[in-house]
Amino acid sequence: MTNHTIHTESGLGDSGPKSQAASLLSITDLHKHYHIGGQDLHVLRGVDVTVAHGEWVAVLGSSGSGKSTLLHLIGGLDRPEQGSVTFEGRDIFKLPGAAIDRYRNRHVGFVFQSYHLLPELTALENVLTGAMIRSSILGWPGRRNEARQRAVALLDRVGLGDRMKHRPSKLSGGERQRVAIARALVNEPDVLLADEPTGNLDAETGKQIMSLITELHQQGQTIVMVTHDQQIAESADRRLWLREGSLGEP
Amino acid sequence: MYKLTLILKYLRRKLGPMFAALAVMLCTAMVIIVISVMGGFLDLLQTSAKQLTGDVSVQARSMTGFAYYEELMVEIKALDEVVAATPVVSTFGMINLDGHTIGVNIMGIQPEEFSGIVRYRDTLMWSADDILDYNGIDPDELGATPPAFDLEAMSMTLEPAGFLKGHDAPGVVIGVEVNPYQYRDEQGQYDFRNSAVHQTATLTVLPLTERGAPAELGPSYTNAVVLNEFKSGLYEIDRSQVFVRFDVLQKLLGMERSESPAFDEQTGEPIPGKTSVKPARTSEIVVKGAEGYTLEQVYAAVKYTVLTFDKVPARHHAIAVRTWEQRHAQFINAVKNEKGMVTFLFIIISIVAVVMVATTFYMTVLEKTRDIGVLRAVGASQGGIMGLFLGYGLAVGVVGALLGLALAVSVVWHLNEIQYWLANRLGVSAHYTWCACGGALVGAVVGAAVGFSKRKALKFALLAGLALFLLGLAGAWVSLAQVEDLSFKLNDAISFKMWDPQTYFFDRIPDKVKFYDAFFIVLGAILSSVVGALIPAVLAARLDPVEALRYE
Ligand SMILES: Nc1ncnc2c1ncn2[C@@H]1O[C@H](COP(=O)(O)OP(=O)(O)OP(=O)(O)O)[C@@H](O)[C@H]1O
Ligand SMILES: [Mg+2]
Repeated sequence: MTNHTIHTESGLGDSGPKSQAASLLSITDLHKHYHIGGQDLHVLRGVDVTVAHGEWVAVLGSSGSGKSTLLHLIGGLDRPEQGSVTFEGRDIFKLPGAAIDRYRNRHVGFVFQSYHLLPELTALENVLTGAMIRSSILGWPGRRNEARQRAVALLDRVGLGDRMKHRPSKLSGGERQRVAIARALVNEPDVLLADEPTGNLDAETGKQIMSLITELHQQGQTIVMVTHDQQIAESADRRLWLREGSLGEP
Repeated sequence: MYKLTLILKYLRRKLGPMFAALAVMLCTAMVIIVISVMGGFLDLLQTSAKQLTGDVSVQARSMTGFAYYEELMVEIKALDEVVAATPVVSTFGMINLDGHTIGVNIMGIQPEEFSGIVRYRDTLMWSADDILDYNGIDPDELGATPPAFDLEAMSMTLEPAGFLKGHDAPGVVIGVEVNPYQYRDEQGQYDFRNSAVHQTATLTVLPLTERGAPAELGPSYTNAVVLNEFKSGLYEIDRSQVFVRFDVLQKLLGMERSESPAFDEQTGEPIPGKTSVKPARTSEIVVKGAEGYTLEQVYAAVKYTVLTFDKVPARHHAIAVRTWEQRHAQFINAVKNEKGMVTFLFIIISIVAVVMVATTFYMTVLEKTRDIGVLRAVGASQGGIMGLFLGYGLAVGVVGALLGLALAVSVVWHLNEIQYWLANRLGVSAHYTWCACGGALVGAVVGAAVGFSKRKALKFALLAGLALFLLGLAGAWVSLAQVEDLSFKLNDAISFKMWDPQTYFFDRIPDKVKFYDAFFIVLGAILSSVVGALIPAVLAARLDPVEALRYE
C-alpha cells in the first residue's frame, strides 16, 4: 500500500487535500471505439488528465458521453484502442498476464450506480470479497482475522455495524451503496472510482452518501467520481467535462 | 479464497446445480448398481462353475470311460502343481422315488476326496437336528445321535448307517429339486417334511462294454437309501444330479476291474491257469491345483502328464483335459459379453452427466453474468472465474457421486428385499415398466424444476429440461434393457427366470457392491462433472466484464 500513510494518519477532518504535486494516475490520449451493427462509435477521442494523490476529481457529462467508459478504462476493466493509463509510472495496459486484475484488486475500488453486491453473500462477506480475492486459499487462514477486523471497522464506519449478517436483499438502497463503498475500500485502494454513486438514491440518502465520500476525501482518499449532477460535483477539488470524447474544464 | 466461499454458498443456495448433483447422483447410482449386479452374477457363475467341476478335469470323451486311471492319478497327484485328484464316474440314468421316475445324471464319487476338490459337503441340506426336530425329539434327552440320524456323516461316506444298514442298499444323495415332493416356497425355503430322506429309491443305469456296446444283461439297477438332499444354488444341477459311492456306480456300470478265463484265439478253448484282466475304468478325474500356481500352469502340467502317460498310448486322444473355464466357456462368455455392454452404458451415462452439468452450469453462468462482472471489477482474474466454475463443477460432482454411491450401496444391499417387495406387490413382469416409469418421472421432475427455476432464460431452460428428460428416459431405458437382455440370454441358454424364487437359477440376486469398480465410477462421475463445467467455465471466464456489469 503505497499511500497507506496518507489516509490512515490524517485524522478525521483535520487536514485538507494533500499537495497535488505527486500525480498518482496519468491518462494520455485515450481512445475508445465501439462497433455496433457496422457502425463505428468513437466514444473517447483522446482523453488527457492526471490525478494527484489525495485529489478528488469529478467528471461531468451528458448521458452517453462516455463517462462510465472512461472510468472502466481507468480501472483496467476495459481496454482502449489507443492511449495509456499510467499508474505509479507504469502503463496498466502493458502489465503482464493477470497483473491488471491485481492492479484492480489492490489499487482500485469501484463503486457503481446500482451497487452490484453479490446477492448470496452477507454485507460482511460482500465487504470481504476483495480481500478474499487477494488471498489464496492457503493464505486465507493467516489473513482472515485481520481482513475481518478491517471489514467490520469499515462497516462500522459507514454506519452498518449492526447489519453485517444481512444479505443485500434485506438492505435499503442507501445501505447497499454504503456496503458497496466499504467493499471498495477493503484493500485500502489508492483510488476510488465512483460511477454516479447517488444516481439510484433519493436526495436525502444521496446527501448521506456524499458526506461519506467527502469524509473519505478529507482523510486523504483519492477519488475519481462520475456524475451528471453539477451540485454533487461541487464538493470535488476539480470538475472536468467530458464533451465530444475529450475532457476539458467547464 | 473467494472461490471456495462462493462455491459453498452456491451449493447451498442455488437450485439448478443441485439438480445437476441429483443427476450425477442418479447416473452414478445406476451404473454402480448395474455393475455390481452384473459383476455379481458373473462372479457367481464363475465360482459355481469352478466349484462344480474342480480346477481341471481329465475327462473321457467316450461314455465307456478310460482305464488305468489309478496309475494316471498317481502321476497327476505327484505333480507340484496339483494338491488333490479324485476319480468320478458318471452316467445318465433314472431314479425312481415313490413311483416317480426322473432322468438324472448319476455321479459316483469318493465323498471325502471329492469334497476337497468340488463343493459338496456344504451343499448338504439336512442334518440330524432336522430329523429330531421333525420327530419332536429333544436332542439333549437323546444323548448321542443315532447313526441313522447323522445325515451329514452318512452323506460323507455315502453309506447307510444304523438301522438303515442291512438292506444291502447303498446310499444316495439327491439334488433337492430331484425330489418330486420338494418345492421352494415364496421365501425360497425348503421344508424337511417334504424331503425324501430315509426313503428307498431305485437307480437304473445302462452299462456299456469297454467297446461301447450295451451290455448283454441289459440295464442294471439297485435300490438305494436317500441319505440327504443337496442344494448347490444352481437350479440346473439341483434338479438333475444325484451322488452315489464311486465303487457302487462303477460296478453297476460294469466298469470295475474283472478277471475272466483266457481263451485260446485259434481254438476258442479256455486256457487253463490263464486269466484275462479287464482294468477298472472311470469317466473322469477331477483335479485341484496347488496354491501359487495359475490355472494355466496346472492345466499345462496335467495335460502334459496325460499326453505322456504310457499305459494308454494309442488312446490318449480320447481323454480331454480341460479347465473349468474351458468347460463352461459358452456359459461364462454370455455374461462376459455383457461387461462390454456395461462399459457402453457407462459411456452413455457419462455423456448424460456431462450434458446435464453443462446445461445447468450454462444457465448458472447466464444467471450469474452480472456477478461475474462484479467479481472481475473487484479484481478476480479470468483464471479465477474459470477456477470458480470448475471448482463448482468439482463440488457438484463430488456431492453427486458420493450421494450416488450411498444410494447404490443401500439399493444393492437391499436388492433382494426390494425385489421381493416388487415381485409381490407388482408382479415380476410389471417390474421393468415401473422402473422405467420411475426413471422417466425423475427425468421429468428434474427437467420441469430446472425449467421453472430459471425464469430469465425460460426458453433455453425448457429446451434443456426437455433434453434432460429425454436423456433420463434413454438412460433408464438403456440400463433396464441391459438387465432384461442378460436375463433373456441366460433364459435362452439354460431356461431360467432370474427373479422368480420358485424356479431359479441363482437363488439370490447378488447384493455385494463392487467397490473396486464403484471407485472408478465415482471418479468418472466427478470427472464428468468437471468436464461438463468446462465449457461454461471458459465462457464465464471470457465474458467481457463491462458487458457483464451491464447485463440485466
Ligand atoms: N458495449 C457497448 N457496445 C456498444 N456501444 C456501447 C457499449 N458500451 C457503451 N456504448 C456506448 O458508448 C457510449 C458511452 O457509454 P457510457 O456508458 O460510457 O456513457 P455514460 O456517459 O456513462 O452515460 P450515462 O450517463 O447514461 O451512464 C454510449 O453511447 C453507449 O451507447
Ligand atoms: Mg454511465
